[in-house]
Amino acid sequence: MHGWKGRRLRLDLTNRTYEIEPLSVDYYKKWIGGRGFNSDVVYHETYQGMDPLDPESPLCFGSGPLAGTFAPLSGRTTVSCRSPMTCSNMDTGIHGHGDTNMGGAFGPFMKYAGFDQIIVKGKADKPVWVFIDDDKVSFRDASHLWGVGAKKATIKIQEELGDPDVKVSLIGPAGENLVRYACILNNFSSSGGRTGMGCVMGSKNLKAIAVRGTKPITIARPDEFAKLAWALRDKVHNSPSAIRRKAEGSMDLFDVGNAIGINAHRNASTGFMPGIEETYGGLQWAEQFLFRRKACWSCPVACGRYTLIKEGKYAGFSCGGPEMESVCNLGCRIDTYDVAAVNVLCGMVNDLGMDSVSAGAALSWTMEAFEKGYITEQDTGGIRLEWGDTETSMKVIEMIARREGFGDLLAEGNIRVAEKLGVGQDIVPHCRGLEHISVDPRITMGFSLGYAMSTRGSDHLKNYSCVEFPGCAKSRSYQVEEIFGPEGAKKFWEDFPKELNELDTKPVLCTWSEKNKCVADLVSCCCQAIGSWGGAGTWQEAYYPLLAAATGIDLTPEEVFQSAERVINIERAHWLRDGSGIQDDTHIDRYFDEGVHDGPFKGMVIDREKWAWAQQEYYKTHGWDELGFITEDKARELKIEDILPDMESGKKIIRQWLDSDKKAVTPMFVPTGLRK
Amino acid sequence: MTLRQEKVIVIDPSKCVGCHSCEMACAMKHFGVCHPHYSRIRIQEFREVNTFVPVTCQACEDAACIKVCPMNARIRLESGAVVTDEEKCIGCRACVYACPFGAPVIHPENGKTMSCDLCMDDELGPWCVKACTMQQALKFVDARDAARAKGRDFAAMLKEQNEPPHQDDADFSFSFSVE
Amino acid sequence: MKVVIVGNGIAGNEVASYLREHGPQADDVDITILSAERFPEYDPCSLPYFVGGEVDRDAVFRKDQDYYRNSRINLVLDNKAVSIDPEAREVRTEKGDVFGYDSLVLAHGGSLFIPPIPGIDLDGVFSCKVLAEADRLAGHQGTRAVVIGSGAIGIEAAEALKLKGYQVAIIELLDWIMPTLFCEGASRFLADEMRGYGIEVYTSEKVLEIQGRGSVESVKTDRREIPCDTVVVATGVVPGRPLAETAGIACERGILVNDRMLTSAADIYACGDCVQTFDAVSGEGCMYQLKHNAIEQARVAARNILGEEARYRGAYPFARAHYFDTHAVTFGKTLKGLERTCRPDQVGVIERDTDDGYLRLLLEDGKIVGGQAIGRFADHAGLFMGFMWRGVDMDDFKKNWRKIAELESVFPWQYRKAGQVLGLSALDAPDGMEMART
Ligand SMILES: Cc1cc2nc3c(=O)[nH]c(=O)nc-3n(C[C@H](O)[C@H](O)[C@H](O)COP(=O)(O)OP(=O)(O)OC[C@H]3O[C@@H](n4cnc5c(N)ncnc54)[C@H](O)[C@@H]3O)c2cc1C
Ligand code: SF4
Ligand code: SF4
Ligand code: SF4
Repeated sequence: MHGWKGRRLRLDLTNRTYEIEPLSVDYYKKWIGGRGFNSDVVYHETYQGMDPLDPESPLCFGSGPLAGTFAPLSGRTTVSCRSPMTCSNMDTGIHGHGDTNMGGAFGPFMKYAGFDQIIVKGKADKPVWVFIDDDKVSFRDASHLWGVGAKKATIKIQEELGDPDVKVSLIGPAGENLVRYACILNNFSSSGGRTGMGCVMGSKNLKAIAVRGTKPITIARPDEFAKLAWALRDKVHNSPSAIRRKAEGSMDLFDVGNAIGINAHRNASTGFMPGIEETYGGLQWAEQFLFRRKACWSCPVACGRYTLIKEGKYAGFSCGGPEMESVCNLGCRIDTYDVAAVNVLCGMVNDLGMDSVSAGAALSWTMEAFEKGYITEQDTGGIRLEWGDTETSMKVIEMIARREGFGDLLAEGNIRVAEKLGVGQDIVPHCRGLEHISVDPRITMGFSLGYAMSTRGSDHLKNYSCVEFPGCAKSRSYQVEEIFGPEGAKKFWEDFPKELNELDTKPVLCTWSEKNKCVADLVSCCCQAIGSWGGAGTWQEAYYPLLAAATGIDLTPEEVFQSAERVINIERAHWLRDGSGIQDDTHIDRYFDEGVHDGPFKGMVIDREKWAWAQQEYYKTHGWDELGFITEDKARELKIEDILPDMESGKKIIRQWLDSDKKAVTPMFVPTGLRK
Repeated sequence: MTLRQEKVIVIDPSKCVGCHSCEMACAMKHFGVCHPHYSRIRIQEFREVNTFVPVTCQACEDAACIKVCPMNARIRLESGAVVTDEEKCIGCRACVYACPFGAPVIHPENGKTMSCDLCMDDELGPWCVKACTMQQALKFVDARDAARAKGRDFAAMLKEQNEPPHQDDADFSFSFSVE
Repeated sequence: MKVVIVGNGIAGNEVASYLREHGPQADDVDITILSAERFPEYDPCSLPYFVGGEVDRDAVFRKDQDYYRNSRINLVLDNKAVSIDPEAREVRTEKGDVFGYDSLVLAHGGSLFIPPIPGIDLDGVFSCKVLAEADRLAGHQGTRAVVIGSGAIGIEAAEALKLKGYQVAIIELLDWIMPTLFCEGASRFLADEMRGYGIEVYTSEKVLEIQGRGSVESVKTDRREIPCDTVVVATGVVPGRPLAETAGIACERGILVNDRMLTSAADIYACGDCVQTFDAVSGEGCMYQLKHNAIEQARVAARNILGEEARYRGAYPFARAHYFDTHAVTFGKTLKGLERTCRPDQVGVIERDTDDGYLRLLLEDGKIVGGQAIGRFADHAGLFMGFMWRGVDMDDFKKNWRKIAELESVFPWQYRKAGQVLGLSALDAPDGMEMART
């Protein structure tokens, strides 16, 4: 087998055993790569109503056929499981699919060890870490690593093994303490942040997985593969957006975002932050803090940063990162201009092992709740969080990771905090329990629909395409026709100037880019390279030829695209099985009622009627029914008929809720007519 | 001693971002597979301080590896590159131990050694250098210019570190040279 | 200018080719090499591998006849130099030829030390020092061999014979094998490895007699008798002094030279295994009969002949021990060597012993003066040789190995690497970068 390794590894922590499972070519054709294998396992090895922290719930690390090869941008790994963080708005006890995609080098090394996927099940009686040395697997005591931050723990493991080239995926204290939005990190600081994968790892008493792999990945057609890889590399080398990424990191989007006012300022209530010229932004950050850049495996761009604070209060502090979302969510979301403190916050959150978006959201929710008088020091054990208070924020972050005092509550994620306190539900900007990233959903409708429809709760990485931005649309005009077809493209250009704020084209756009990005995740390549900075083109140009040359299998682009659709559907089915459909594919009332506070799009809201229309349109582009459920025809077309009984039982749950008068956890817009 | 006219790969570790693209390129070029152990250039990782040092054969003017090889298997090619003649090599690793960089690496298939052959006369030039186009941690420059290139500061530093203190020869061969 | 070189070995050829490549353009350097053997230059180091069948016989040659012709080097084969007349500036050979010179280079190496053991001249007793002997050994058909002496050559010969299917035993007079190269611990480990490959190793044992009628039948030691049909003598190389002594050139253990490779006689240089020089690190007088030293000394001699002021920086011991899958390296002094010259309180040892390797560094006044490494540590031995050259203070190193000298420039990565290799924890020393608080 070429490209793939033909096997996956199953770890059973309860019994400290492992099993190597061979995989067939048919299986690979069906699921292609990392995210695909993971979503399949996570769907089929869990059940409706299962507790995400149930020891038997599988935690999967998956990588794709291009991971670890000479193909550029190919260092990514997907981690998936049933998420403890995300939930339905009907009931925070209803969970669904969760996954996260991390850079670094873990996936490539899994493959060098001979595995396309690692599935972890069970629960160790004591903290352990696992060492995978090619085919040898050992379970080792992790008591001395428990409570240790990501960087130090990684160093300790590497030193214990006497090998600085071992790749370690691990959790920080937050994961150990079951913070619902704990992340998994690999290669010191490349994190898979969202949806609480670290919490699940912690619940299994698994501190870390270290891999050493000595086996090469073979390529079906090496000469052709090398030529294609060079062509793509050349394209990236010469891409202005890649060059900008290199210089500024993902923060190259900061100024643009702020200029149009979408940067999730003040608990995502507004998006414009005046006077950031000296503080925020990619170049500013590089000038102030950049020590040296870092890259994922086999990536020529190196958008990753490593920062060192040279002077001032925090002089000497160093950390991997931060990237755009961390800075936005731990910076402008809590309304501070003290960028050195933001850098420290980002480093802390990472090292403690938490999702920086949800962590920032926890801080900003508390700040707004104080401001609005929803809560007082009595609720927080004497802590008061005001806008911009980075000192206290640092304290609170530690408390969350260690689940101390008020931190114990914040560790639950905003939706549960508001639910438990019985206040502030209206100011939790989320979809399916996952807080939005730093883009305001009232302005850019592509993001807006994407957040709601993403298969892992609010998220842009699953389905966002930049062509709704005027600048992007122009530089990628060739994509427009591909996405909308000739007719649609004509209409697109007619409405063009207003495109950003309109929902009309978004259902089609969203569905297309969902699959586009899914292919990137499947082959383990960077979705940003065909997304936000986009220098690599679309997946057909960038990744498909490499996939074909590496694996040598006879899959047409259409079939690959269909596999992507299958993966999206199985993830969606995971939610639907638990009853989460149309009522969760939406936003909190705030975004329909309260206009943007500031910036060029001041006053803008989402239009309810248009939203209801867009929801249905989106379902239609997928061939789903009006409740957003996968139809029998679709399931058969995608050869996932086995989900059909689950769809029926899922529908029962949603009907029951719609027919009852049970309130949603947070006030959210549900299209009229659905509920009695 | 006169400098050779050939081109050499110079290294600037301060620009290396640890992407290992160069390793992947080298493995691909010489073996058609992907794995760092199949590469002749190797990145030394000090990731805890985010520092990476590319190590590859510098084709020293006065190469220690050549002098210590019992089989005379370390040979200099027309291009100036110093490589292992696999027919003669017995895999004793004397060259690895004696090289100030530890540059020769173990051939993953036959246990002999291998080192950079500058990709012979591939029209793309050395693949590792091309793979580093964006970061410029590796450059392929004229040996004469190399003395001025930043990368050679690194080489000079190594030279100083690896040679006995009483040697004050100014040319930039930085191995165990007598001259 | 007429240059006569005695010895067509590593050093002699290096002098000749250096003169030809770097000398004046015209033919005014007239080069003659006098050789006691019948071959163009070959490498003694590769002989065991030819004997063992790992490489073809062709592979031992460094030069062919054409080279000498094309380089206009007058190679006189099979004609040993027997005396020198420094007054007349003449060398006389065994065949009675006389060669006049402007500069003379003595590069005739050493000869095998033949221990005074009864039976040493029996059929079936071989050595592995010169090609003619190696040819005989390679052609010999035996089944059971005893190697006398466990220096590097003995070990290599033992491996070669094992590869040829012999049953092999090594006998060492001293307490452990490769006694001048390795300290006891490393040596015992290496001996165990040898035994693991099926080679018998006997230490602290003295060979009393080689027995047999006409040809070898057994070797008798003070402890046992080993039946065998083959004996390889590898008991060391003695520097060739007699020729120099005919000219009244000062000798001690070897021919004495200054740092320009000049002997006590005018215009007579010497280099290679026959000379006694000084250690590059300590400056002590030494005789490391190793190829890289021969080459470096030869170049210094050649440059001085050409009128340059080249100075030798000193010789250094560096050797690898490699057989089957065992890889080891040694450099500088051993503990025994160190104890001969230092007070006990000056001596320090750093040791690492893991599943996959062994490392031992010997310190004098806190600075590395020698080291031995096996397995995974061997690949990093070069780092510590570098430290030895530079005289790095290891206490200082331990304190500062993580420090980033200047953030903008490349920090001395070799320090960090060495720290990794020595198993120092990155968590224990400051590096100018504070870690996240956890
Ligand atoms: C089996 C073996 C393995 C070795 N392995 C290693 C190793 O792995 N690493 C290492 O560094 N070193 C090794 N050595 C040592 C290395 O070979 C010598 O240090 C090196 O060859 C010395 O070079 P030289 O020119 O001084 O002497 P040689 O290479 O010995 O050359 C001397 C030449 O002079 C000739 N000669 C002698 N007397 C006269 C005379 N009177 N007139 C004319 N010619 C004469 C001899 O026939 C010979 O050809 C090994 C040696 C042997 C024998
Ligand atoms: S390609 Fe360049 S930046 Fe990447 S690891 Fe190699 S030398 Fe470093
Ligand atoms: S000593 Fe090392 S760097 Fe120099 S030529 Fe030999 S292998 Fe290359
Ligand atoms: S490993 Fe091969 S090339 Fe290197 S010194 Fe030994 S024989 Fe020569």
